[in-house]
Amino acid sequence: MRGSTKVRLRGATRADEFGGPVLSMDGVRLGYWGSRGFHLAVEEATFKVAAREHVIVIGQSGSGKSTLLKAVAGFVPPAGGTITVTGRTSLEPGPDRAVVFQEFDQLFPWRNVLENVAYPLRVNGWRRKDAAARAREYIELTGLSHAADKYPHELSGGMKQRVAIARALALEPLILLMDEPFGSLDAITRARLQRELRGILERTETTLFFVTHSIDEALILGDRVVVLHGVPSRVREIVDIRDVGPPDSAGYTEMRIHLRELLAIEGHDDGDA
Amino acid sequence: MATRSVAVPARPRGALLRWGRLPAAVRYALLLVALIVIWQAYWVIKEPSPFLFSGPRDVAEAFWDGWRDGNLASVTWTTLKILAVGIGIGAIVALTLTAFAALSQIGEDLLTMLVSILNPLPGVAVLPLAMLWFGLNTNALLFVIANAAAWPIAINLNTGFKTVNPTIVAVGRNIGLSSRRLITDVLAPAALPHAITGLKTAWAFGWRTIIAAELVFGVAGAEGGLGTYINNAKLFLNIPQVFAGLVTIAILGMAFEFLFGVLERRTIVRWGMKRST
Repeated sequence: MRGSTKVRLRGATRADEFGGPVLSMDGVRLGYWGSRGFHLAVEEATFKVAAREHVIVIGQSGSGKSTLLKAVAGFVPPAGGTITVTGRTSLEPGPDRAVVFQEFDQLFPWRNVLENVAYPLRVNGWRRKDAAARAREYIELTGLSHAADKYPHELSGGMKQRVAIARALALEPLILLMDEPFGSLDAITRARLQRELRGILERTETTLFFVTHSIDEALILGDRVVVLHGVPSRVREIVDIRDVGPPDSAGYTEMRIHLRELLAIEGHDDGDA
Repeated sequence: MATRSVAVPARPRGALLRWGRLPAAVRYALLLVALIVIWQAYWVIKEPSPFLFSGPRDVAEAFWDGWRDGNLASVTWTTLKILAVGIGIGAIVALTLTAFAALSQIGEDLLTMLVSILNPLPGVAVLPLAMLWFGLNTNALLFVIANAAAWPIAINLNTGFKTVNPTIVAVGRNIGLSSRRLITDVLAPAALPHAITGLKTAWAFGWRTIIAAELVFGVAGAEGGLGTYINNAKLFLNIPQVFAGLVTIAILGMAFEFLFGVLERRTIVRWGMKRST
């Protein structure tokens, strides 16, 4: 990733123009219809995400954290409460809340890397030339310039996730939604991508809503951590982690232990960090 | 059970004349030549009746003459034209039914039922009915071919749409695609591997069906196709022409196989949606 790329900051600027929080969750209740009727996943969630802030939602499997992200993306309507994105409450899926999924197969197999990043821009009214130029900018930002004309099946899992990140960032969303994007990667690639993502987010001043079950991932990427707990879940605590220090510091270790305790379900501490 | 594994050194492939090292085209050409030599040998040594069998030389001559005087070309063109229109009609029927199936449960049930009833039916089986309904004309052929082509296309399209990766559809909605563009830009290319399989099967079914149907029609067809050509040649005991018709059918079959191969390599193989063979 080179530092020379000059990236415009439409998403961040728009979020600033609005003034208030980019995202507000007020008493949000969430569930989905399964084979045994309505299944409540999130009983109550209330928190805000300010412009440029990185908020990590952390919870164990089944805590409804992915459902929460899908609700913000507009895929799942809330069963109660309100989700507000820059003042709007009726949320259809849209590129102002670009999503990076966990699955490697989220790229269009019939488009090469450049086309995968440029196509969403074309859909949103960009002219071919401008879309391609901007796509190249973000491909460079994610360190993929050498692979711009490769097709997804020719890429490793880590590279595919980089393309998905470039595609989402190129849309310059008001808020970037990431659903365990590194969950399927090996440990080394995951650590590298976490570090790189942190740098990219700072440079692009992106507002982030990130879902994970990994405490370390939350500590590396986040400003604040929303801890979901229980099934169906509630927000147990919102922790500010801006000042925890580097991964080997005492503050980091302390915070790690604290988050582990918050995540633990009564009786069995199998908190997967 | 005392089995003992014995290391068997693999016999070097192509030890015989280094066969395996020759380019594929040369290997197939050599095999073809060998087959023709055997054919010629049978013709010369056994001397079968020329009213039952032909040698390669007579067949080559009949083939050459047929294409030069335009006879074979015109019957081939007739057959291909009817086939293309028939498969086209079948594809439109299949697309309509599949769209209906995608939109409603009753459509889905209707498609499942129609496919399970009509797909196992060999294409020619409906020919007698078609002849009664439409008469001995092109329409009867079109009906039979459309019926033979529609069901494999419908089955494969339906499977294709049903098995589209939901993450990609979610991405499509996330980047702001309208329903129409979600269909044309995401669902259609995602279902392309199945669509090509359906088309290949439809082509194979349609091809067999039209030749068989034309053989049944015999000379009665207004303008005859390849099957009629073969049937006529048989009636006049022009055996080399019968063989020339068969050779034409075989070559066309191979040509279409090749064209589908090119189409697949340029699309779904290139995109990693199908492994190259």
